[in-house]
Amino acid sequence: MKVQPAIKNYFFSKAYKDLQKTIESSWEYNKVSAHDLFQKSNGADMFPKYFYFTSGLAVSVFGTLFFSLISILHIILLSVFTALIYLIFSFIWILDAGYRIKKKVFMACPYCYKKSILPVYHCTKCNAEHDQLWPGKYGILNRTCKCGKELPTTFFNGRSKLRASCPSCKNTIESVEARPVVIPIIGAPSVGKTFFVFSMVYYIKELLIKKTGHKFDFMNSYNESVYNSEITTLHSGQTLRKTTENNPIALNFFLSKNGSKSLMFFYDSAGEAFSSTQHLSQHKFYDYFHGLIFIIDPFSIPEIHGQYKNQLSTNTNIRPSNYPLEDVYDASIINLEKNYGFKVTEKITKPVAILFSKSDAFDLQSKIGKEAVDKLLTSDNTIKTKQEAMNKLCKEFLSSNGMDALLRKMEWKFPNSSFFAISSGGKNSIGIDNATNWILGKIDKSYSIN
Amino acid sequence: MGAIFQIIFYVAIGLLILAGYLALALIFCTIGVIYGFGIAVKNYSQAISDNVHFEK
Repeated sequence: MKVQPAIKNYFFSKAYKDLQKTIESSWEYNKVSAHDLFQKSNGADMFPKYFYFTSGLAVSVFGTLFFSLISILHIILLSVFTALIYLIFSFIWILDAGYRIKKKVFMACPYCYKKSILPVYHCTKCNAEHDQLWPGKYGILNRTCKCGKELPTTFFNGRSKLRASCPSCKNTIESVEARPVVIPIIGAPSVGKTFFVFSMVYYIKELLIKKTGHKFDFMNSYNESVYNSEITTLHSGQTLRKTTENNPIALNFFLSKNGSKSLMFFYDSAGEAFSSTQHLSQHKFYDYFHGLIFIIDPFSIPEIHGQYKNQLSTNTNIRPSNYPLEDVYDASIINLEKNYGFKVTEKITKPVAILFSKSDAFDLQSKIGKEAVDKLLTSDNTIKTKQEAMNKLCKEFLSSNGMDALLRKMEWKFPNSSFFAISSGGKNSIGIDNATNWILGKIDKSYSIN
Repeated sequence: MGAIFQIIFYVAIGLLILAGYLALALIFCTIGVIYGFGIAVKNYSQAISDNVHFEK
């Protein structure tokens, strides 16, 4: 354990030093006393001489023999008491660590993406930084800060209520030891990542939690005001501002139910970040993500773009992404392989939702939308569910439009993936519910209604 | 008879004085041992109070 700005628990260090000093001092005092008494006996008359001599002898005998036994008793008592303290400490330490492991709690910084066991907690009196505030040699249930203030050291006695900050970037952490659920959004510029994120949060906040019974809270007023502003813009039919941050700040909100609390992290990077692995290497959240959302603008596929060329030139509401789809995929995969230890031959088993955005445009609904799904379900008896039909249609859509190689790569790399056709328009969205339910349900069944 | 009685009397007195002396010496020695034991106890408790501090 690193040195903390706190006072060590007595039984974790000082008790042994005190015992050693006590025995040493006791011997020293006895030696002086005996010497003093023998000196007095030399100069005394008959009976006082006997008195001083036997006193000196008694001090020497009891001091060396009897108090050796007392010292052993002292050591035994201290050891028993220390063993008891260590037993309690071990139990509380296991309880605290076990809680964090069971609840999958760790600190993920939404600003610099640093991952650590816990954030740095600050003393409420002197603001001293305690970066390992858990049961240890500085205290089992509480520790005393160097300023004298008692601080809780476990999840159950108020540690999470202390002011916390990131050990790396020093920004305030407001996660209150909730379980982080991290979902990065991958996609080229103008594929509709921001539209999707706010539509997804709208769906969770306004519809999903009413069915799952979760409580929804934004992590802070900043997240709430950003959401309110963006969702209002989205509902008014205007275009959201372009995301310019290559290193995005997560959109965070809590989902709580039956005493368990999760903190959602949606990372919406500027599409330009996917132009190079150098940009992506800074996105440390790929080290601990729980699921990926890969957004494809169908009009970024050259063949589709060609088919709708005339309609796109007259409809200015649809701004096709002109960034090659394969390049985004390759940059993302190379980033995971180069920076996060994924092997070239390794599959990404975490859930990956592959979304076709802008699926309400022109006649796409008849190709990959609800209309096409219903049609396929009635015409093909081998397909049992709507999601199966959606997957089949989306894969055929990619394959038949010159993206067969990419589809094969995706199918191999993402064995736990599913395709969705969506349109992100806040309350007027299409397919957001299915995609959200699928990916959240794959991360934790309690988040979804499936 | 008188001389024998006198000898016995002086021997008895001598023994009595010796016994008194020994008794007194024993008393002093016993008090000395108890006092020494007390000092050893006091020294250990002094060592504890000088060196054991629960307060941080």
